[in-house]
Amino acid sequence: MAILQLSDVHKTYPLGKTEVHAVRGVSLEIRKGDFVSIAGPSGSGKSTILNLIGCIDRPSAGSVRLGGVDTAGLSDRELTRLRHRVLGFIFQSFNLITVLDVYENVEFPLLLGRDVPKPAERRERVRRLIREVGLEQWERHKANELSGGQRQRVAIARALVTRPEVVLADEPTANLDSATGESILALMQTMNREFGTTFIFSTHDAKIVDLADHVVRLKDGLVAEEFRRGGAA
Amino acid sequence: MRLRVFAASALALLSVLRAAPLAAQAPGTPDFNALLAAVDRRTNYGASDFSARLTLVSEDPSEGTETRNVRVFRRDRADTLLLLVLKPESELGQGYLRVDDSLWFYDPESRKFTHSSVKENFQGTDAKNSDFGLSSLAEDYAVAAHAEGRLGPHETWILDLKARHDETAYASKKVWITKKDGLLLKSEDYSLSGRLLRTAYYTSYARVGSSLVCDRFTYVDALVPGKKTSILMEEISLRPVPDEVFTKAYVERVNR
Amino acid sequence: MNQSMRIAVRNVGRQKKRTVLLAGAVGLGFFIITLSGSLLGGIAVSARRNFSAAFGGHLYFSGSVVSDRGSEIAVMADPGPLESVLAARSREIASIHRRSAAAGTLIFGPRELRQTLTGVDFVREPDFAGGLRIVSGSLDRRAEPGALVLPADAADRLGVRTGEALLFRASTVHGQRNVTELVLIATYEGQSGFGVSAGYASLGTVNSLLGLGSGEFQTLNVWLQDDRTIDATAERILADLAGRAPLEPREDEDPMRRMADRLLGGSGPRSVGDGERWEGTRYGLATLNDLMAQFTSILSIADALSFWVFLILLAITMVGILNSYRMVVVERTAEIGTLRALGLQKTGVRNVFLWEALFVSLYGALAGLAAALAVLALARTAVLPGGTVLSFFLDSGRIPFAVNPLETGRNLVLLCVASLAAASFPARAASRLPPAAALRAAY
Repeated sequence: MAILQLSDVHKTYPLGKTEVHAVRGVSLEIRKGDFVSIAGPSGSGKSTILNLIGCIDRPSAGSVRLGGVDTAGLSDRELTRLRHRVLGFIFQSFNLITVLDVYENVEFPLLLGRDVPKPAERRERVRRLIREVGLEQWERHKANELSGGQRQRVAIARALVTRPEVVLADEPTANLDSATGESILALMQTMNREFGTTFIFSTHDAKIVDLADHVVRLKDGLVAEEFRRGGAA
Repeated sequence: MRLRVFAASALALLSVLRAAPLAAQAPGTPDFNALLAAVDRRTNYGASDFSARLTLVSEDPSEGTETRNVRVFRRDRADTLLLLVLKPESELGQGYLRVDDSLWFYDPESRKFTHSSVKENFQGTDAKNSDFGLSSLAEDYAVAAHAEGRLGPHETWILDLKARHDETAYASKKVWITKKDGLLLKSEDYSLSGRLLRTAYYTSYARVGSSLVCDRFTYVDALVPGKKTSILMEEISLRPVPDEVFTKAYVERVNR
Repeated sequence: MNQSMRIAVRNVGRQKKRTVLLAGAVGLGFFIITLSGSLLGGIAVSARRNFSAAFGGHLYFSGSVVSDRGSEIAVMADPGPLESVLAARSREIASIHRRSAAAGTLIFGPRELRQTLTGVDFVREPDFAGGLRIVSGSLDRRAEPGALVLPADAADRLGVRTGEALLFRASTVHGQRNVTELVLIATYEGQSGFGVSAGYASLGTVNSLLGLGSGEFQTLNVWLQDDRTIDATAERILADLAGRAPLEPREDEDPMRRMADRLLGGSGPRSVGDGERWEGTRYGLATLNDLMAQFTSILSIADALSFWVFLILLAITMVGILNSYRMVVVERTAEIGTLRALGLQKTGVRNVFLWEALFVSLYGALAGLAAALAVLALARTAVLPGGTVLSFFLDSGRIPFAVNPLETGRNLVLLCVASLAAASFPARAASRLPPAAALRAAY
């Protein structure tokens, strides 16, 4: 079952007096539970595609359907709600909220929606995820007291705390050494299997691409190659 | 034209005088009320206007000696009076205007007129505002007793006056009037409680037209030792004064 | 707690230097307005108390009759109608005192001093002695004829000591010159230099100086139960009196002048025009508020000035807040993108900045308020020497202050509104940042 559908999506940005055509007609279908890698060199349109999937940017043409909802007609408020309900985000630079500690960062998305879980349930969910990412000793530490790998683990816990259907990760290992990067990927894989959450991550690292079961290669804003391991593209 | 009637100085007036009080009006004594009325007539100018320049020298043991120049305008037939201070600089332009039974004090600094009283002392001196206006001895006082005595070289009647009503400045007075000319030479002014408040000496009279005008007089404070005010009157004139002088507008205008 | 508020609270401590500067500017403004407002308020309260003590009441009813010669004589010849009206309002009235007053000159040797002498019915006012702070002598013999109590500075200027005799020259109610010998029995801490603190003698002594009978008096001074009701009570009493006795028009004269003319003897009787004359005793009324009107208006001007200073400081602070938060928005662009990506709505982003500005202002205001209270409490410990003009505005020699909660609340609300208005521009700009573009900014 497709959790995400992109149909002939285009995205152009104004750049001075000219326009940059970042995505030139991409069509994709991602199923629930996929562990997807969007690969390609810098400037191939990976981040743009992730932004469009993440509903933090709107396509210039084409449609994006997320969780069965066509995002084209949604207001900013509705898009924000959809994002909160369906998506989790992991960023290359971790993007933790510096004034909050580990526990509060993980808890933060839980407190934003309309249906905020009761405190006991909230505490249980946050603690469990912190345990899962191995940071129970660091619960009350601020982001600037953590290593890069630890920060990304916090980001993963934060992305998963609302039990999203899709987690988007933009170059999640780019700022980490290779060992840490591998451990982060392994953690994402574990979460993918354990919770059945769809993971879509962009990367230009061939080793990481190899871990994905669904690979989309972009070049110059177009899908150059798409395949599923152990299945038809 | 000025005529010195008396050369006697204030000091001479202070000299011992012998008075022989009489228990009752003896034969040959004048009508004292008429005598007082004559004094009033001499001091008042019913038919003509009056103007003069006054020099007031005030001696105060604690504040020293101060000299003031004041221009006075009177029209007694209308009971109007204007006193304008010319000196010192700090009081320049201050004025007292008596019109319609009211005395107004004008302060050029605040540019306001305020109600004052003829019974108040003039600019802190020993002279009262009323000393510059109409004299009404005969109307205000009754002669309670009389005596004869010498004051310097002059034979005088010495009259004890009691106020006829309670709105006079002084409850009682004692006055010395020459037998020969009916001129007021000296006056002692008493409080309601019977205490001497001040003594006035009228030391020189000048003839102006057909009138005799006292042009030198001294007020000696009886309560504050050493305090007195001497007044010299010059540039005396009985020529008509323009009507507009006796108006608030004039007082304001001379200050512009 | 609201998530925007939670982040805002944390953000306040994020850039400590900037927060301290902004809160400091706000605090300075609040410090100044609280200090000046409390001081002026305190001065108003103290001056009111001191003035009412000096004038001996809240309402001053004077009486005057027209003499045979057409002069206005200041004496309450027939207090009957007034006393019966006051008796009917006894619940609003704390006490009533009969007084006479003479403005004249004290003479001691070569020295003279203008002074008001108030005649007090010491037999009917046994509490009178308690109201004066005695500097020298004693009030035991105050009811004796000729006994005089003076403000200490007046006695100093004359060089007279208790037990010594001096003269007092004044005019009777008819304007006749009079003089009496008095013996100084005591001096009290007062401010004769300010022209308000009176000398005191028995009612009989002052009456004989004024040419009044021993049982007569010039004014009825009324102390009210509540001094906030002065104007209303005055109006009610005047309304009760209307029709029963002639009343002096209240609005056509300067009350200070009228006070000087009628209550304090002034410059002798005024002649009353034929058309203006009245039968019997005409009552006049001056109130503490009338007498303090000029002073109150000066205080109001000072109050308004300090409020304008506060508004100017507020405007400067607003510019500071506006510019600071513009910079903050630039610094936190990526964070704004993150918050938006995680599901925070535009309004939530806007509220982060509004709450933050509000908290900074509140911290500043609290600090300013605390500093002002500390300074005032410290100033309150100092006791200034009495007997000067200044002490009329003090509370028993101490600098008075009265923090007005309503005014403080108003200033706080103004401050909050101003801070929110200043922060609203950058806050709106932050909320309108497109999330994708915001995320592209360096974190």
